[in-house]
Amino acid sequence: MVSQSDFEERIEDGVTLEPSDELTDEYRKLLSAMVQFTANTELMGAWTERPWVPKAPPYTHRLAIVAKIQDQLGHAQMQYRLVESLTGRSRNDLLQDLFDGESGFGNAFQYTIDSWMEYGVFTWLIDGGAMTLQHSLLQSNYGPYARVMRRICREEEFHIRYAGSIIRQFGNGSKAEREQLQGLIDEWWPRGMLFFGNKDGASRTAERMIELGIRTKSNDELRQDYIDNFVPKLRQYGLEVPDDQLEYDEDAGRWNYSEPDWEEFERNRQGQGPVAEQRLRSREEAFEETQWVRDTLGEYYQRQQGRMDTSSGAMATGGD
Amino acid sequence: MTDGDETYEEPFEVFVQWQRGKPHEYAETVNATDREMALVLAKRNVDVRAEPISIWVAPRSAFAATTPEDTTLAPSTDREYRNVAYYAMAAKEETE
Amino acid sequence: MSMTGENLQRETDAVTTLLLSMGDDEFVTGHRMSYWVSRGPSIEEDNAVSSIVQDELGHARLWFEVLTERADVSLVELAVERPAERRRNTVLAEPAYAGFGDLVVRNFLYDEAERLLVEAVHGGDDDVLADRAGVVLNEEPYHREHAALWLDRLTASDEGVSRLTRAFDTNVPHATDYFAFEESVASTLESEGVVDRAFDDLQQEWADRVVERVRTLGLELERSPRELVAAAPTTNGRLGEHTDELTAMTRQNLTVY
Repeated sequence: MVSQSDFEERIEDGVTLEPSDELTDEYRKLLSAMVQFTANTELMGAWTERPWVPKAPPYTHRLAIVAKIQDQLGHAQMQYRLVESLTGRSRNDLLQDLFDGESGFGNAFQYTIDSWMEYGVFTWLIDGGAMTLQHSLLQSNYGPYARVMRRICREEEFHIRYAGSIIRQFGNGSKAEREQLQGLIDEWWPRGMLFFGNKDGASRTAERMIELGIRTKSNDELRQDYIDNFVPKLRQYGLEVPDDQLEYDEDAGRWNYSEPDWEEFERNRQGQGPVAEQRLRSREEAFEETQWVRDTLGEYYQRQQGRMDTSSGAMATGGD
Repeated sequence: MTDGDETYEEPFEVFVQWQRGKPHEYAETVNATDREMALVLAKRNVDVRAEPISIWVAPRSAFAATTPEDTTLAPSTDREYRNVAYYAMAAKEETE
Repeated sequence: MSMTGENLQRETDAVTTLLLSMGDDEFVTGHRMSYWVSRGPSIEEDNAVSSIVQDELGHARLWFEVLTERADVSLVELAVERPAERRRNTVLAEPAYAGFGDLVVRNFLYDEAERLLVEAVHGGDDDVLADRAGVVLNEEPYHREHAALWLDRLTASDEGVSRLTRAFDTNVPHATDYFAFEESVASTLESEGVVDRAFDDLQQEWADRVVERVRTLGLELERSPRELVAAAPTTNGRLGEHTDELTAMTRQNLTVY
């Protein structure tokens, strides 16, 4: 096991860590917890959005949403795979953590989406949040994670553009549509702000991950990037940021904004958002309904293994 | 790191050739029960927008690999004699 | 020739009927399968299904757009707004999937039939249709691979065998309308060379493949597979006969603004 000081020296030297490198337990634990959370979030995102496939305006929108869901499933898969390699735990262990509440998922997927316009706003603001976080993770010092992020960021770009097309449609629409749009922005903006987690200093975790090079930006720094990104876009569509304390402080070089609702944040963090429990239970149910398939594959697998020569030898640590 | 106690699937490394003339490169890892399943799933689990030319899959267990402690991947004794620069320098000295 | 949407739906033109049939097949199948994205046995598998769904919806559009280009009717009207009684899809596609085994078996039955019909169109004399058939044929092999992959593995347990058996028992009778086009439509398509093989021929080949597959899977159906594939359909989607499931589906398919 590598010593903490040697390990941290390597990190300071800017080394990119790979699966064959020795990691401290702390690094491994922090990294895998974060990646597991983001994997859960992608999975629950796909689950949340799927009902909109038949409810979206036909025809291209429906295809686009299926493509978006496909991407999200891929992002979940890649990140779960990474955690499997980091921890030696199985996919099903990780999914069970989600269902048991041992590992959470993003706050934004704990609310209802009641109209097509709301779907657009939700996608725009929340994928926008995801994009902000994912861009900062491109510089993560864990090689496999940074590489996964490259593909995720490419695909996320499509999500943002797609969502933007919906906002544009309604932003250029009738007065009633524009008013409805603003109302939805008012509702979802605070949720976007909470996307980035607790404020800096509230917990050591985020700070420690930055010290270790897993992350490169703090939650509040990401919030700043998020606001930087959306303020001009909202203005472009004739929309207002629903925060009368939002203002750019030239001297400090940052945005001031009203304090997010940390109580709501805490509720969501514990999976208490309005429809969190319901969504989780239905996802778990779907998982259980295919247990017979996995069990059957088990029998198939055992037969195959029985037929094959098993040669022992040093196992590679693998691609992820 | 080996995977947990699952007895119905294992990780398969997926290599993709993205363009003719370029080599296959590692793209993803997919969990599957056997090679055929891994290949069928890999076709739709890689970056599909990039339209791969060719995909290979092999179970992680099939790979043997060096470790970071292996110091023999870079020589420590003088190997100038096999480098172009050495001969280019010598030729230059001859003409002077 | 200019057609209004109304005329289109009443039109007994054989090519129109064929296009509506294939378009409805793909649209209804794609819709039903979209429910299953994220419900599969693994995330990797969900990814594959989401890709197949995009293929199906894309194929539906390919077929419908031949009509939207020829008549004053929109894709939305054809794909989404047509009520169940005007649809021409096989009833196989209509119910929600009862489970993963049901999905795999129905996909197999459907993909085998679709391949035969689309190949016949691809080899036919209608250049526009043949061209589009070529596009569809490029994407279909993956669907067949995918169904075959699962059929071959799900027999590894008693439960798998039981579920697959039930799925064949239930679904083969729903698939026998696939080639059972109205007599005049079928003979027009054949005589005009829109399809390069007779429907009866295609039906026979499909029947043979299904019987063979059931045999190689080692499944014992409730009734003999030969009997099942040869029986006349009780509900014929090609003649506009449909189930309540389709009616329910068309009503759900509305945008929530």
